[in-house]
Amino acid sequence: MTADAVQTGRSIGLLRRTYRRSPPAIIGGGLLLVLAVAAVAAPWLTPYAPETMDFNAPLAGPSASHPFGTDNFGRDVLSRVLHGYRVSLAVAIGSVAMALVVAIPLGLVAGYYQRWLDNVIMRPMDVIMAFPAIVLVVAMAGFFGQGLVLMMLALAIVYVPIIVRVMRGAALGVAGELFVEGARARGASDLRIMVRHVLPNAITPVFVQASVLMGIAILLEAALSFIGLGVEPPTPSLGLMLAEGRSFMGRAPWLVIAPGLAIVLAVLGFNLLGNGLPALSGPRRGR
Amino acid sequence: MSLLDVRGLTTEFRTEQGWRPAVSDVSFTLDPGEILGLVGESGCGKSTAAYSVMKLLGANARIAAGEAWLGGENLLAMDDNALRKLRGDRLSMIFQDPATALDPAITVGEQVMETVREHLGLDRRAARARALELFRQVGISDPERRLSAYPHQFSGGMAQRIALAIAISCNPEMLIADEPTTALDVTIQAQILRLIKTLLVTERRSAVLLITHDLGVVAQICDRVAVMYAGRIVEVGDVRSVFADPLHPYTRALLDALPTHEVARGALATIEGRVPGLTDRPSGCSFHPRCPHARPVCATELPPRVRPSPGREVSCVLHTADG
Amino acid sequence: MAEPLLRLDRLAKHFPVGGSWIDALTGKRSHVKAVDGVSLDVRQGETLAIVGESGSGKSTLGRLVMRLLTPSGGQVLYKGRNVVAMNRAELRQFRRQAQIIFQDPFSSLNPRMRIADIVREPLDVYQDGARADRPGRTEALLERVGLTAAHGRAYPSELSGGQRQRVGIAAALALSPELIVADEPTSALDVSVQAQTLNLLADLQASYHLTFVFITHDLGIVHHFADRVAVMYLGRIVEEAPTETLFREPKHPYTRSLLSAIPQPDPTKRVDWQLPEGEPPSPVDPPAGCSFHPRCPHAMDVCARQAPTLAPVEPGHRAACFLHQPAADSAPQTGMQS
Repeated sequence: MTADAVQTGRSIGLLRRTYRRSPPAIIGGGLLLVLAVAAVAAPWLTPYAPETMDFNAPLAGPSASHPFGTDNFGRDVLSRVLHGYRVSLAVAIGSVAMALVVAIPLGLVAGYYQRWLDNVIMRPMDVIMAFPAIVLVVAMAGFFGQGLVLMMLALAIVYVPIIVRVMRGAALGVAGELFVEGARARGASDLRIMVRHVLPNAITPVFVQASVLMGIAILLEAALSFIGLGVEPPTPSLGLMLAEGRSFMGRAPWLVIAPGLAIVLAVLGFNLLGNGLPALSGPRRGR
Repeated sequence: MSLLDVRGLTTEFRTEQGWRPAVSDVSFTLDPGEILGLVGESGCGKSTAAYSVMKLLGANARIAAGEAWLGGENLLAMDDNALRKLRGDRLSMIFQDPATALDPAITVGEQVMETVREHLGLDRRAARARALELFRQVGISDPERRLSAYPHQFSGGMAQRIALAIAISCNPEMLIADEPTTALDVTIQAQILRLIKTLLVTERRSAVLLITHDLGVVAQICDRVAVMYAGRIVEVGDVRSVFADPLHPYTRALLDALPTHEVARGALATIEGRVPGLTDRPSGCSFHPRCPHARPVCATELPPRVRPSPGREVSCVLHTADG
Repeated sequence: MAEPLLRLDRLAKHFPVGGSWIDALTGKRSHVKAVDGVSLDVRQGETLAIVGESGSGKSTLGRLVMRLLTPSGGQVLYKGRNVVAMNRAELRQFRRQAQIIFQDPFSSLNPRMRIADIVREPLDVYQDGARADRPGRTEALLERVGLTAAHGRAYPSELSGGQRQRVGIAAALALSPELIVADEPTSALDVSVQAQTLNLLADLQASYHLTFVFITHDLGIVHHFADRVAVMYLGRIVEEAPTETLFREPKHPYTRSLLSAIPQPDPTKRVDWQLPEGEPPSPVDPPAGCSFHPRCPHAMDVCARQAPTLAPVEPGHRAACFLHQPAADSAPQTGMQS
């Protein structure tokens, strides 16, 4: 066997072991991987650009050349869904990543030090949490204006307190563990204890929450675009497609079914991944 | 005649390598009014053996062979409903953590009363009187007030007393006590052990199967002792003779490992190695890799069960006629 | 006599219980006196056992010595310097010389670190010796406690309870400390493993001239392992004596009942347990006077009014009991509790 084959064999072995430990994580992760690849490879997967109109075939039903049919401008729905995924996934990953960068250190510090620092960090978070997420996002979209990055930012602001809470709760639990006390007795600094001892043992619920929030981000992006506060036409977005397809629901149901299904698949993928993560991060085993 | 007669009990656990015996060919008897200590280190199968008799096993365990006769009935062949009734009426259990037997959301009085109403068919008033009497018997002061308290309001020792009150409420013929004092302080442990002895043995002539890792507890309250190692009973006998003259090398090693007054510092006898897990049990006698007296035959053949004197039994080649 | 390595001087730790911050401001919050005025000396090279049941405050005492908790009062003097008043740098140096081993081998090791990294961490924290030497030193430490380099590559979940406890011991030894506080190091272990661990500790003590503060609930182990014993009840030391003396002539009624409650592994010596009545009272609301008096078979009137002090009954043997000392306000009267 060549070195490559050995490497491949090992990877497959690892995948199989992982699957045995947590089927949902692998199914969810695999689903998301397929969707992401399809989104990135969209130009090569469909012969039509998402904005290319074909006035000879408006509202055409699913066919070999247009698997998901066309819309009222004769644009290929499959191509638009795949390009829509680019927006959805970018918003999902971007908003959660921004939120994680801010929220993990805040939650860690609040949970580890507790007392007054905890209050200083958590009370403002409570204030943000007091507003329903959708209201806050709508308000911020109105305030910041429209656009992809601004939407990510708005979602990130909504997400920060949620992740801070999860991180804080997990850190609080781990900070009381005996091995943390032991590390302190052996002279480890607070920073070292937080990074080496608390964080690795407290991060799993944060990743689970992050995964769920990515799914919600896709829904929120769709909702915002649907009501006209998200991505602007003609950029393809799943929410926008739903809004536009609504008028033709009777004649061309595929216009709403395709983006609707696309949203369901992505959210399902993130939720499965979130469900499966804890099983993967059980007690560590060596080689 | 014995009250309980367990024969050839084998219980298996599901592991990554398939079903593996946690308890192998375990046989013992228990007479009315007798306390039998089932001792061994963690993982030796002592709890599994006792839980098998009650058929209280999880989904990852199954009884592969054996019988457990209580009177004329084989517990292992009974259907679940009949067994459930039996568990309340004639058999009862207490656990290491009394909280597992108590519902945290219901007052302890309700819990005791519920048990006696269900199994003894008493009305509310009679059940309350019975509950009060039981609380007094297990030494709970101010029982009227304690009836309306919740489990979390009790210390470990008090909770164990309440568990004991529930366990004796229907005058069981047999009590299985699974490490009932392991989580308690020594002074409280002594109180609970004394209660078990008076309430069950002296007053009710019930039989007690006491699962413990503590040889001191065995010496103090048991009549007979069965020593388990790696799923098998290696030695059985009355407590005095087993402690005075342990026949199996494992029993001897366990006794020698106890810190006592006579031993010099840093000179405690130890057993090299560790208890084998479910999936790496050695062939032949499971103890042979750690045994100072091991012979070649120990690695290949199961040691025979020998009865060197009345009431004593040991599974070791050292005690066979040619050994 | 030489200065003790460790001296506890009227050490106290009170934990607030329940109540909100408003109660705290108005002084309504009650306190548990987990440790209530403990004075003790530990000499270089000796093993002092601190024995007590749950709620006696023995583990809190161990954490106070290590300054894992800040005392509410009193001093911890290590080689004459007050640990309580140490600044960050001094504390860091103190923790090089004093180490703690915990009871629970399951939660005392970080489940996400390899064994070798756990043992090595103190060396990294203190930048002790050349970096290149540390893997070798780690391996030597593992071998010293009876583990191998292969164990070093494993995660804690792959080791047995006894092996994990050895890892905790190896990590505590890494910086060659002088003082080790061992908080119930064997109570979670099986008998045979407990014996191995105790032997290892005794062996290490001999080879490194360690001083041990050995916290335990198990008087049986104490007899085998300790030079001196201090018995704690509800935050106070009720008796302190050389081990042999304590076992031969226990003075305090609590010590006596504790000794009689140990189940002796000898069926020919079945004891008629002299048990204290009832449960230990709650440390939130301890009885007035001597806190043992409601359970004590010898309680006198004075015991309910006055707390006895820990006073010498013989050279090197102290007890806090009016049976062995005159009460301050009146002569002891026999007779008794309501």
